[in-house]
Amino acid sequence: MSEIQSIAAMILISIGTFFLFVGSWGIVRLPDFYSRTHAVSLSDTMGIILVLGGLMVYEGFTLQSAKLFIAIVFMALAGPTGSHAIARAAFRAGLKPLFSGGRKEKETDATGT
Amino acid sequence: MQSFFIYISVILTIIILIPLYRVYIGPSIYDRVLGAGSIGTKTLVLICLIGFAFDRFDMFLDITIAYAVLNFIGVLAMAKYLNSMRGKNE
Amino acid sequence: MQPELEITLPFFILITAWLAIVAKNLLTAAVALTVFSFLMALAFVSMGAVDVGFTEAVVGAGVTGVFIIVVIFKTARRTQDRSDMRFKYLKGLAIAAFGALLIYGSTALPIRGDADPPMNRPISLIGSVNAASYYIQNAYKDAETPNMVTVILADYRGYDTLGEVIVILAAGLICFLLLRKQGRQREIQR
Repeated sequence: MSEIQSIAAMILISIGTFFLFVGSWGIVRLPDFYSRTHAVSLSDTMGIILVLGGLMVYEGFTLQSAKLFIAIVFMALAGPTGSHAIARAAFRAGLKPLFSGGRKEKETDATGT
Repeated sequence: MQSFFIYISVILTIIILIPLYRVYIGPSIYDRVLGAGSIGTKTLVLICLIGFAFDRFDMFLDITIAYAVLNFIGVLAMAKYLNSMRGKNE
Repeated sequence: MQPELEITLPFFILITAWLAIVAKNLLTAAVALTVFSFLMALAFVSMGAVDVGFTEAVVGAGVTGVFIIVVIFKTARRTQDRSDMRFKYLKGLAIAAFGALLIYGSTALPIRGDADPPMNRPISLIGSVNAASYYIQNAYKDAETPNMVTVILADYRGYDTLGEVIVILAAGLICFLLLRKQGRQREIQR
């Protein structure tokens, strides 16, 4: 039982690390601020849920795994909310999204850089 | 299993370098805040993994939850401030 | 700290610190400082000093970043480096000498995790009684809290912490009063 737990935890943590890597890579690779927000909010939240879920599987039924579950629920709520707040601030400040056929963004946002 | 946690921690530490590049080059302040939030997220996972590697997870777990709340509040405060500053500094 | 993290983590801390110094755009420097505080808190936590890391995360990454961004929006956005070039080599020499002095002093520190360093022995090197050994022997008996650092901060130094809180409260109140008066004067001028 313990070996199965360890292997499942290893697999979950590895997949979660891969998702975190994809989210980070998306921050650099994507051309536009709003698509970068997409990368952060979705991939990073998925990676955190998978890694903490793997640790939960490794821990078993204890008080610590219940706390981990609370952390997972909080991160699943907080990550997209934070990204949405930044995207809303950027949109209200007048940062234009990149439409198809457009070039890469210049420093044209209203508040400057 | 302990060494597996350590290896994952080192890999995550290297992954932190990628949003750091976006913090450096990012054309607008929003990109930079986004990169800082992403780095905070990875730091949270790292604290969790370090707690497992040290086998003192009960102590590190409270830190993890508090850190998550802090990261969230920091990003929200920056977004709120940037939102309230629009049109005022032209 | 594990040796693998001990190699990689200071490397990133140095990169972010260099970034915060070099950046011409002050907002970049502010965000880089926030990232620096996150990594510094991670280093403290991985060395086992959880409460120090927690304070660093609260103050450095949470409060200071927001404050610096508010100040930058109120004032100028870019740095104006007007460093005078006189005594350039003399300044460099002074900084290098100070760094060498610090490195020389740090070689005499006890190894991290040492159970019997000189300052924790019951009798110090010159023959007086050490306070640290009293704390180590009696902290759990006096307060029955498992963390010794917490006992020293909250029980033995309770009045000290109370004084610090009063000082911070007074400073915050004075800042609030001063800024409020300035705002009212500006309204009168308009």
